Amino acid sequence: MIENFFGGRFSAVFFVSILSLSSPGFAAEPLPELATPEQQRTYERLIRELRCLVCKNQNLLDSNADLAADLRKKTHELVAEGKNYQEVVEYMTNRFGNFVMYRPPFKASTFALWGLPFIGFAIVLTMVVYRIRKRSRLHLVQLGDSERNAADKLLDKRKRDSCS
Amino acid sequence: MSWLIKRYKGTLPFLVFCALALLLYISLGKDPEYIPSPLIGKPAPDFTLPDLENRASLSKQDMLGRVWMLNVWASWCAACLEEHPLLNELSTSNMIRIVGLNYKDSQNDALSWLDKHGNPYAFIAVDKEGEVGIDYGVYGVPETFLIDKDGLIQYKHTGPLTRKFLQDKIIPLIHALKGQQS
Repeated sequence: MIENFFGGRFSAVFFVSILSLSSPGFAAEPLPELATPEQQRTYERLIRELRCLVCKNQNLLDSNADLAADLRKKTHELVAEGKNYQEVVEYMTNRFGNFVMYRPPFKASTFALWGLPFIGFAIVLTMVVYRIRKRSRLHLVQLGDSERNAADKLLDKRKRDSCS
Repeated sequence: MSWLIKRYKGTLPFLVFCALALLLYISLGKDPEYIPSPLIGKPAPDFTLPDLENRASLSKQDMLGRVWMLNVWASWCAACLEEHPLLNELSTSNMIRIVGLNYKDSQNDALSWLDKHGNPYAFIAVDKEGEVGIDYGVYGVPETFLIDKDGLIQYKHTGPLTRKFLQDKIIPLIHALKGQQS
């Protein structure tokens, strides 16, 4: 029991320390803080939203790849020169294409990407509404007196049966 | 509308399945490594770079008026070695002037690599920091660009060239571009 307790606590501590080792952000080499907090924010937003092209599913912040380091440096440089978010995004997409962005811009060629979820949702919504309306159209049958008596009798009988 | 739905209700999942299967089938033939370059048809980015021995320099303007190939390579790049014999062949055929962009490499490594494997390049521009590489949207060495007489990028290939690719795509394109008036 006691061994179990210590074992449990030890493994929890171990697990947490492993987790903390793997926290993101270690990839970025220290680049000097930018002149204004606003620039620093722009830079940090950019390296989160720009993709490291060689490693598929990592942004510039997370990636250790050589190219990612170069692009971080370039981004830093451009922001330090006074370029705003949009200008840096344009700089990157002019060279590497939309793929460099995690959130591709909305335009004709990306319509399917952005539009399909909404179109799908609209289709499902119409189907649901259609079904609900169809169900509500089922009207209840009005019972005549004799039918009602017959029904009461049946219900009474069942009640008696279950009591006895 | 309602009769339509009633009649074809059962086939809807099947149709959705067909559409999805078609989409996946089409995507299956695509190369996931292929990223379309936004540079096609645009002026090749400017550069002025020294050569490996630091004796001369080359800029984009020097190449205006001729069709040329820019091949991005490095001695540390294994895939570059794979395509290198093809470049040597292309170079001896004198069909096109090949400019090498030595990307993030060291001078000594690059020179000894060329000694060992042959030098197909009319000029080797040294891009030590990869700055020009970024301008050309280089993300996977080797990369090969075809630039026309007006200095416009007409073609970009990422990854090693293959013989089939060279014969089917690049050589016909070189001939077509050479035929164009600038």
